Amino acid sequence: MHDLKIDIAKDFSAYPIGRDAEDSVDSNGQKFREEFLVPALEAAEAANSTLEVSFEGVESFGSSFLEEAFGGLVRKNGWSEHQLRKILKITYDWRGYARMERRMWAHIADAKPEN
Amino acid sequence: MTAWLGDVEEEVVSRRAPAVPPAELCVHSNPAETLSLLGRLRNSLQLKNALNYPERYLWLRNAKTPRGLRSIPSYIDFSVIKRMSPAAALVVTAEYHRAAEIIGSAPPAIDLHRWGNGAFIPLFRLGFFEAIGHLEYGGEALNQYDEIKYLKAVSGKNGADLPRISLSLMELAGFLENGEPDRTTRVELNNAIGEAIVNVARWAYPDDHQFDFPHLSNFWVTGAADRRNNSFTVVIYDQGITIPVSYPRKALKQAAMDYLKSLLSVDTKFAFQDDSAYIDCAMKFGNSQSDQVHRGQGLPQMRELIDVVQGGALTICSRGGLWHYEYGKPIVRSSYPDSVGGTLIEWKLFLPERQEHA
Repeated sequence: MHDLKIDIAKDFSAYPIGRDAEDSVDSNGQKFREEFLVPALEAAEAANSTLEVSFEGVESFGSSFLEEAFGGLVRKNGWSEHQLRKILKITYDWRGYARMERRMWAHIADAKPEN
Repeated sequence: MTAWLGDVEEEVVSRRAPAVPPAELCVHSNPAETLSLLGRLRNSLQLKNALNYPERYLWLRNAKTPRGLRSIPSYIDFSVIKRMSPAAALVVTAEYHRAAEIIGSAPPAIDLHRWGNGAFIPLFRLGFFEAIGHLEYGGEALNQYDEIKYLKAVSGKNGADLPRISLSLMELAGFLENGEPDRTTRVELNNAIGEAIVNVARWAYPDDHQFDFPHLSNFWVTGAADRRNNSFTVVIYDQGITIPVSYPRKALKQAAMDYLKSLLSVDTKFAFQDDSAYIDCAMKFGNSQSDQVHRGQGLPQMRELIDVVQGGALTICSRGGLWHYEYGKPIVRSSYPDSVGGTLIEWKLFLPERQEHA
């Protein structure tokens, strides 16, 4: 049971792409991280709960978006992989998203804090 | 000879004999001659002169001939072309589109009535004449000739263009025997195209680079669905800095440096002779710099589409380098002394029967 949920395709974009506004003004990874992921993660952590992020319905998952959105949590926002493993729950019905999820966790594992 | 400018056709004379293109314009089957022709075409448009002396730049000039015919300084005889691939047609369209945007009009089509179907059909179906302003935009984005359906060339600047391009391509793929691709192919194709678009938006047109030709900071995309062999081809082209120019500028990871050194030539025999080596290295190690390892995985992801779908081929032509990967086969690369004028990426998929529902 998850208390918080982000549906990427419905709440943000079915075609998330790129790192920042230079790549795409409305659907980039930085925007998703700063405006959706970080506030929801902070709320979930404060409530001692989890955050469900649904991949279902997303039509594109480029590495630049995945790294900036999720790897950026470690690089830019001070989250650790250990914390994220506890709070972040990725969900989907279509099994094809499993590759994207593995890549997402790999980006988180590879990311180094920049500050 | 006649010059067609869209609304009118007039008899003209040429000051020089025409440049004669190869019968086959395709980077796969005839790369050297194709790149040479594209280079001559680019130079013939004289964009720098047009920018420097716009008031003196005219495609057709008043000639002092007894008949009072206007003249054209030079032209390319498209009538000898027997076959033009969609990728080559996209580059030609992009070159003329750039000229039309920068100069305000595109060169006339010379002796259009003599063009064979091999050149006319791909260009017409790609929307060449609309892109250069000789015909008004209109009609369907997709159009069919015989057993091939084409997507008219679409230009864009960044990732915001991905949804409309993706939807058009999926509609195009629906022309094939098995209908739209399965969900895996669809998502992986979007990933690959998306990363190609991001590469253009982020890297292709840096402000600090002195370009040989003025540019529009654009990319162009087209596609073709061929029922004869159930193939689906997607092509994206930009007129940016190119991989062989940008890659050596980067502070590469040691492994990439070592690999690149092993590929580079010892003696220089012709311009651009190591261009395919730079592409090969970029595809193997990504585009990331040693201090930014989280970046630059877009190029390898473009190849993943072929591996995940387990069929088809990816071809990258950047400046004078040609790199080709066909599923299950070794990479083939070659370099040429002429440039494609940017970076051309082509995915060719042989779509399998559907195994799942989207």
